[in-house]
Amino acid sequence: MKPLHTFALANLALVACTGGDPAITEPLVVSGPTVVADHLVWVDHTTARVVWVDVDTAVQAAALEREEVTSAVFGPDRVVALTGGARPAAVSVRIPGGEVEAVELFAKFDRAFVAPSGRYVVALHDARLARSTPLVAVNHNEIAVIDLVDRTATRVALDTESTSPRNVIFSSDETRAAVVLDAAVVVVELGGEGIVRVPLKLPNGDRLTPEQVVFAPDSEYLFLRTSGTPDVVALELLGQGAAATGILNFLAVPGAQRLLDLAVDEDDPDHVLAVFRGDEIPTIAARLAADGDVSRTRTVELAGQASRLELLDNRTVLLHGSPDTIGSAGNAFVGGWDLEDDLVEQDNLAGPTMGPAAVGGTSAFFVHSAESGNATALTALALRRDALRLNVALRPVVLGGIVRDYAFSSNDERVVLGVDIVREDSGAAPLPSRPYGEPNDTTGAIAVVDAETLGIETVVLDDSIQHVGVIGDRIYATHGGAFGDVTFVPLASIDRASARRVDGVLLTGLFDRIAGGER
Amino acid sequence: MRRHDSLLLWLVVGAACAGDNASVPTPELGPCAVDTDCPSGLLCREAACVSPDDLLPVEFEVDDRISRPVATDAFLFALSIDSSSVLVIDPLDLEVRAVLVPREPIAVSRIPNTDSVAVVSREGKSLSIVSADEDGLARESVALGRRYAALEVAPDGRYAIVFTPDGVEPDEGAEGLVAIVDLEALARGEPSAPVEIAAGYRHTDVFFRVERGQTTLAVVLGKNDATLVELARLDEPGYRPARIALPETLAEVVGREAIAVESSQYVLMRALRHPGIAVLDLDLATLTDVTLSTAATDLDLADDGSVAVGALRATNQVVVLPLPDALTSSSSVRLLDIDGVRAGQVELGASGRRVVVYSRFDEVERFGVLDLEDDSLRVFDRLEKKVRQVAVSDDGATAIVLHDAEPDSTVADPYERAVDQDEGYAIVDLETGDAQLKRTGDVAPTSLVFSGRHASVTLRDPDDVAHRVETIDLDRLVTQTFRLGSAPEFTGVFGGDDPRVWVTQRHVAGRISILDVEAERLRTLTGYQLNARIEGGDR
Repeated sequence: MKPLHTFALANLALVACTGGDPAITEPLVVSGPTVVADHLVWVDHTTARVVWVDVDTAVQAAALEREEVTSAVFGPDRVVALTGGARPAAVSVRIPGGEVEAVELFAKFDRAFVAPSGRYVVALHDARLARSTPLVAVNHNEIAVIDLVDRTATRVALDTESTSPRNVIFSSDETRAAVVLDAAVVVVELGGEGIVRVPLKLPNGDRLTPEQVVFAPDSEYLFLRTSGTPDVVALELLGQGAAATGILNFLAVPGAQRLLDLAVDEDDPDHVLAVFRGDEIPTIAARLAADGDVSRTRTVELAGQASRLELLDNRTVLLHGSPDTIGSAGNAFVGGWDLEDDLVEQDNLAGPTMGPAAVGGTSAFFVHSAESGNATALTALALRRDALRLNVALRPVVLGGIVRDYAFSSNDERVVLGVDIVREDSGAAPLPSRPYGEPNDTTGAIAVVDAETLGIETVVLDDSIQHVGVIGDRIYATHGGAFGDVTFVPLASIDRASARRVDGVLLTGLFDRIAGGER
Repeated sequence: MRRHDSLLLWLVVGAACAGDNASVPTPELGPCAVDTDCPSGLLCREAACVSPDDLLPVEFEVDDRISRPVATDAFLFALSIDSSSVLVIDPLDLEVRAVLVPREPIAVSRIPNTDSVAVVSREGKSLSIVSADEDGLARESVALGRRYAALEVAPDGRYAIVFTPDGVEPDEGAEGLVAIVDLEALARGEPSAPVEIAAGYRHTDVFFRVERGQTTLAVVLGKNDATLVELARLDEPGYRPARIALPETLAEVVGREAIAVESSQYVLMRALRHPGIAVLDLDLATLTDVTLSTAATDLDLADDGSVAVGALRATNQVVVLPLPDALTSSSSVRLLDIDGVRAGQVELGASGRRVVVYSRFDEVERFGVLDLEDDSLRVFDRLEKKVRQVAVSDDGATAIVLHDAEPDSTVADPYERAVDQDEGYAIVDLETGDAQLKRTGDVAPTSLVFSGRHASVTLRDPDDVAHRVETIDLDRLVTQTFRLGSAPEFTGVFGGDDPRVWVTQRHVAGRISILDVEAERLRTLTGYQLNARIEGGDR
């Protein structure tokens, strides 16, 4: 699921229904869009509404009937918004049915995190958020565990020395949630009473601040990457309820200087995969036993600098140096590690990467800079093993235009890119404000590249693209409009004739409410 | 009785790596500029305190009276000073449980035949017994009234002597005092007030006398005298233990060695300036001196107390003292000339029959084994490097020789020169004389323990990259390496027939590894200091 994009799209100017009153202007704050139940969904904080559109461009909206939306999260079949005001609540809206249910909360919270199934939501106070309202005393060590099925909200006291809860991670079986603070982790039983508090403060006073936290697939371990140590911090979780406890262990790799990334293996819950920067070796990749059995540690050394690792479906590990966000700079190194035979292969892309790798199945796409300024290079990577060696197969593709966003369609192993191209002679409709065009005018295009054949299909759209993604058998592309403009294109028919666009999604139902005297 | 432990050797790393041994400062004494920088009886030559007899540095063994984890048969107990707790580690699953004790737990000692330890808390001015079993932990504490920093537990577990070792500033008003705690009463939950005893000045050692399985006497050695405490008389009003004054040449804290064993009534002492070996008879409360022509450079005592041996490096002799005969008959004392090796240190084997003879400051690559039954000496000279320390397995069949590196070696053969320059150790079959060298590059061995038919050597890398523990199969003379995440600190074994070895390592949060030498498996628990702070349970 894409990260949420909450931003002020525009100032929403509202005219009071009684007329003659001055216009009310306030920024439009929106979360989304995000895919929920094959729909593209937004949460409009400003007007406290949820709006969604399906691939056939049918738009619906539902009012939250509450005020002051502070946070919104997107589950598999519903959206949950935290609201404040006189009656704080967690309001959920089912998609696509639009049923609204509210669970009353005992306090107003800043951020929410939803479990993968959508049943549980954990709400917390975020000390890092700037507050526009007068300061109110807040206990940052207080969270709410919300059960949307039982419609209950339980207050949980974290009781740590830390002041900044920053993240919540759910175990895959949803029996536990790990609340990550600046120098502590608290593991809370979901549907139970057990709690394990783990301060991350060393005897010399140094703090270990978690930077990445993952549960083992069987939920028996929590693995952390923290500042202050190059080791993988492993927390073994034991017992339940009154017997809940934990054992902390630091899994070390000799010669490691800095831990860069962690991953777990669904088929091997007793181990954790990690990639390190070495003291003298650029990269060390390791498979560490969660119980600290050093004799089961396996490491490989690589000559290039990798900072990320991904476990592919064929039990090979892809190591690369791509950054986390588009537009950032990463390095060109790629490597592969066969976990079964410890085979290693290394290579370099044609240029530095400029966005995260799009990974799926047994292949990956890397976006990196091209030689010319108006083109983007793309490399399809496949990790294959034969009897004797592991093979890193690189196949480059060059696209005209600048990539703005991309996503991997794991169903058919294709990558979908949103690209900015020159509008002139592209086939895009002229801009209404400039019917004769300007030399620097651009528009958006969708390019779809097949990982296997490298076949490319493209469709030119009429506006620049902000984000792309895949819903079922459709590609969606959002445009830069203030009120939610989206184009849908079938994956099976990538052409302008098949594309469908809907504009102003966020305006759906808004004026009905205004006309009815509501804001 | 406490004695020098031949199973566990603690070595000083990096102290004597230069090729010229005469210029190496002994770590205990430190470098010097003039003679007055050195203890009485030593000279300063080339910045090192050396013996006037042979101008070689003092032979030394590192004092292991440092707070280190203690193993019982089933658990490992480690102190977490920062969190004022004792951590009980189950070596099977590395589960860590913590018991809070009064502030600043600073010394711990096993209570024999139990899964319990006694712990002294300095700021907490207390002594605690911490007991562990599968069901849980228990703690009983008694107030001491003063700050103490060390303890010794009697072999029968009945008493603990709590004291301030020389080098630690005593608490106000506690100069020269020791406290005796009835551990049995404390374990029953009926703590009795500790009995304080005035025991002289600057305490260096505490020993016990055991008769028919019961501890009857405690001996506190100070700089100037020995205080003999009759434990059965502690309740007597006005009881003051007897003191035996030490001669001036023994009244030292630096360079004095005292040894004793549980089953013996004798405590033997040597010192840098004392020409002889002093024997303190605990039953008779007498001090007898076996006069020699020179000071002994090392001392050892058989487990059954029947014989003591001393190294006389200046004359290259070993003195053999059958006890008690040597105290009354000078003719029973044997002075054996040693030919072929330098007699700087002696190490009695578990059988009390064989003595390993060597010197750290010998130019030749060899050591000797003296058979006390016929006074014959067998020289083992199939070594490739100089000897730093020699340890013999319990069964006397194998010796592990820890070598010195010679960075300035000028041997012509480049391979041999590289061998000289490396650190390393050798495994020697004492029956056949076969030796197997293991080079370890620039990583020096730091400690060695025996467990069954294996030995384990820890190595500390000065570049902080390749710390490791190597296990040696003493039958096959083959080693296996296990990497450690950080520099090793302390090593030990568990009780009984447990083949496992534990190794603590430097880590700000505490790190310990459990090595199963037979299964070839190393499990590491790091952060056990933090485990004391984990809180679990119902919300």
